[in-house]
Amino acid sequence: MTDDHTRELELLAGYVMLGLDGSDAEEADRLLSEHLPRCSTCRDALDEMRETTGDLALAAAPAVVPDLVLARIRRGIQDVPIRRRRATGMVALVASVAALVGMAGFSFSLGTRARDAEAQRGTALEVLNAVGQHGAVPVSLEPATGSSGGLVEVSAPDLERMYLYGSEVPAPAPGSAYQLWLGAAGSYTPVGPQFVPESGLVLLEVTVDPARYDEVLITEELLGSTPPGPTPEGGHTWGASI
Amino acid sequence: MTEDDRLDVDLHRRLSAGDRGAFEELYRRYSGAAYGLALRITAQEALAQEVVQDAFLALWRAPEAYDPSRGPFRSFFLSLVHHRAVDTVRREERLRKRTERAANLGAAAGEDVAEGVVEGSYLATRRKEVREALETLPPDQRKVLELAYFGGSTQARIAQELQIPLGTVKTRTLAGMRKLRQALDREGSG
Repeated sequence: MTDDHTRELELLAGYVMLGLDGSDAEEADRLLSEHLPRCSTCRDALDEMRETTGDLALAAAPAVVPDLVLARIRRGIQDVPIRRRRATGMVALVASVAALVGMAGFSFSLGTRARDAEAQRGTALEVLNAVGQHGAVPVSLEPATGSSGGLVEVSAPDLERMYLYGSEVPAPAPGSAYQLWLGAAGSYTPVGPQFVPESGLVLLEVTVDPARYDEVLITEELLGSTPPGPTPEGGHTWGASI
Repeated sequence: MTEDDRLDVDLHRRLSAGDRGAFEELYRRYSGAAYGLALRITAQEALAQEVVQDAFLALWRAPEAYDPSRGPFRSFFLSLVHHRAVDTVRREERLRKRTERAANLGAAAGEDVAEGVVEGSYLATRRKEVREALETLPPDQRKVLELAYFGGSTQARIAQELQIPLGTVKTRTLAGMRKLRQALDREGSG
């Protein structure tokens, strides 16, 4: 960290403008997951920068949206009721997905205080220890090139439950969120709503029979999107065979 | 928080409870600004329509993505549109070269509101303030912000295009954003 935060603030400015790539993007990821939870100066600066970029949008002249756009949106709303995702055959096997940490917060949730993060980490470890008593073996999810942070999958077949724990997981890009996928014979199913780490932490509880799947994948997707399959390119990705 | 910001928060609260009327009111309030922004970045009507459609559907599917304690709904939603538009442009660029038309802020800043756009007076007032604030920026800082925000360029690409060091792009970006914020705060309180 620089004394006057100049380096950090330059990274945050590039981040909110969606202008970072390469090592700068990786450094920003670390900044967001490791430094921001502890630094109110940077958190406040990030909020202010987001408001500035929101205002900058108004420099573009407004335009008349063709009626067909609203018609399409109305159809889309009917297809996807609020707070519910499309159901497929494999998703139906998943009785429930609960986020103990970090679900449904967008990257705005980075403002969580450090002591909250410590408490959440403690809760996560307690849960994983309880699962471990059922003989579950943790499996590390390997990050793709350019991704950082550690994620571990713990399955408990006799409980028909799976847990995913991650620490120092970078925030997704603005307007994006993470999606959990379960794979069987090369076919992937999105499981649960999108999520974002809170202070770098992720803990998901998935009620599912792990024996039905052979792979677990987490990808970065556009917020609110429902892609037909995982889109690992252009964002953070972690995966493992289970 | 202005009265219009509070109205947005109320509409968002109702939307979160599944109120389609509130969703359509937010569409009425922000679709023109969203489409104008998407059109500016993508420079193609079909792509811009897709961006607006996707952004509003994302809002419907995941309204909890907006946290009122973190700023105005307007900033959140237009940032969502911006991200999708830039993402679309970068995806399209893999397939073909696009023109530099979208990166020219000067032309758009001088455009008038298109006939037929339904826009609340609060947005029109804020738009005027934003354009006036942009005018106060030094040209080199403004250019970097234009290329990044409306051109969808990465900082590395901007450095290459302007033939300046990457560090200079970073410095100008931060300085430009700080000056813009200060100018907007002055405009807002004036």
